[in-house]
Amino acid sequence: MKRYLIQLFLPFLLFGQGNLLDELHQPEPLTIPVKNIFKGTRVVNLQSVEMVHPNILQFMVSHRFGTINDGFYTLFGLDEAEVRFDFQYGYNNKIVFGTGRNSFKKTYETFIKMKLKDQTDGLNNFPFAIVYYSSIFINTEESGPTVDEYFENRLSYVHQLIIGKKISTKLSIEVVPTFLHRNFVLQLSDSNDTYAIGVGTQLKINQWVTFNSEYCFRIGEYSDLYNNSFSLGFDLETGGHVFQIHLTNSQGMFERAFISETSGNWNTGDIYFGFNLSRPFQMK
Amino acid sequence: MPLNKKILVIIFWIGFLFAGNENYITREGFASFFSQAPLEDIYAENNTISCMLNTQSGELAFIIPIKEFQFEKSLMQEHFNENYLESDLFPTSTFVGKIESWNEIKGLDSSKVTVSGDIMIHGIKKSVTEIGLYKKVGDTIIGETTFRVKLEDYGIKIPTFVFNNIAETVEIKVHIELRVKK
Repeated sequence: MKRYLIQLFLPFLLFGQGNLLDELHQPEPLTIPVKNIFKGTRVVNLQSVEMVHPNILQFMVSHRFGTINDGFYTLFGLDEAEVRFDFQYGYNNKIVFGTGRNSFKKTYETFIKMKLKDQTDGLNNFPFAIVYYSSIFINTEESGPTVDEYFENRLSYVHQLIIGKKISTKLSIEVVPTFLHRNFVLQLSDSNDTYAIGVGTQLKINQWVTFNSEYCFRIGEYSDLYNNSFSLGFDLETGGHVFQIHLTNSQGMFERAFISETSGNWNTGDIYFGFNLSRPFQMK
Repeated sequence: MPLNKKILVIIFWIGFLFAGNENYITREGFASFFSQAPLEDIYAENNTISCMLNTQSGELAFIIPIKEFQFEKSLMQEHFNENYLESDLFPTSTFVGKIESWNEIKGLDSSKVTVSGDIMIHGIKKSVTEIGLYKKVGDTIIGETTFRVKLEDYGIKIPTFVFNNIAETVEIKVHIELRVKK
C-alpha cells in the first residue's frame, strides 16, 4: 500500500509547482565587476583605482592651507594656501587623461591613467583592480640658472601601479608601488630616484560619508629634510560633487611634492588642513 | 498491485507529463524608472526583467536585476546603485503574486487585470495591488503596468541636499512578452 501511494504521488513531487520565484532564479553570471572601490579619483593625495567615467570631464580643485600650528594669527593656516586644479577626461572605460596646475613651484602636469584589470566576483573572479598611472611635471618657477638654463632640470616623472581591492562593502584598500624620477634635486644627500609604496584605505561610514587614510613609505635613503607623507580625511558626497576634507603633512598635491618632498611633520603639529572638490560634467 | 490501482498510477503520470507545460516565461522583459523633481528628471531602462506566469493558477513572479538599469548619465547610475538601492546588498527586486479572477480572464484575448502580491525592493517587502493590462496575441502573452513607488516606504532615504533632484515617488513602467516555457 505504501509503495502504491509513493508511485501515485511521485509525479507531484517531481513536477510539483514549488515556488515560482525559485524556478525563475538564474545561476549568477560568471563575471560580476566590482565597482566603486573608492568614492573619489584620489584617496587624499594618492590616486585611487577609480577612473573618471567615459565621456565625463572632471574638474577638481584642491587647497592645502598653511600649517595649523601657526595658531590663531593665521587662523590655523587659512591665510596661506597652495592651490591645485586639474581637468581629466574619460576617453573610454580603460583610459583617462588630464592636465593640471599646482601653485607649488608653479608646476604644470599632464597625466594618463589606464585600467589594466577590474576586480570581479563570480566564477571568473579576480581579487583586485589594477590601474597604471603616469604623470610628467614641469616646474615653471623663475629661479636660479641650474633650472633656467637647462629645461630638462625642470622635469620630473612618476609611474605608479595602483592595486585596489574592495574587501567588503565597507572597507577598501589599495597598495601603490611607485617609481618617481626627478631630473634635478636641490640637496646632494637626496637621490634623483624615489621608490615608494603608497597605501590608501577607505572605510565607508554610510552611503554619503567615508573615512580615508593614506601613507607613502619611501624605500631607501633620502634627504632628512623630508618625511613620509601621511594623511587622514573624510569624503562627503553631495550628489554630484565629491568633497574631500583632510589633514596631511604634505602641502604639495602632486606626486613629486607629496611623495618625495613632504616637509611637514605630524609630531610637531606641522600639518595642513585642506580639501579636494571634484565636479563631473557629462560631455556626451 | 491490482490492475485498477496500476491504471490510476499511469493516469496520474500521463496527466502530469502532458499538463506540465503551463508556465509562460520571459528573460527580456522591459522596465523603466522615472523620477521627476524640480531640478532634474531622471530616467532609466532595464531590458533584463525575468517573469513567469503559471497559466493554470494565474500566479506570477518577477525578478528585476537592479544593476541592469541603464541611465543616461553614468554618475546617476553609480548613485542609484551605490547610494539609494545599495545593489551590492540587494541585487534584485522581486514580485510574487497572482492575477485576480484568473479563471475568467484566461479565456479572454485582452482585459484589464488586478495583480496583487508581495513586492520586495531594497530588501523590504510590501503587499501591493496594481492594475495592469493583459493581452494574448497568438502564442504570446503580453502584460503591461505602470505604478508608483514611494521611496520612503522601502527605506530609501533622500538626503536634504539632493531633495530637489530626486522625486519622493517614482514611476515604474513594466512591459513583458511571455512565451511558453520549453
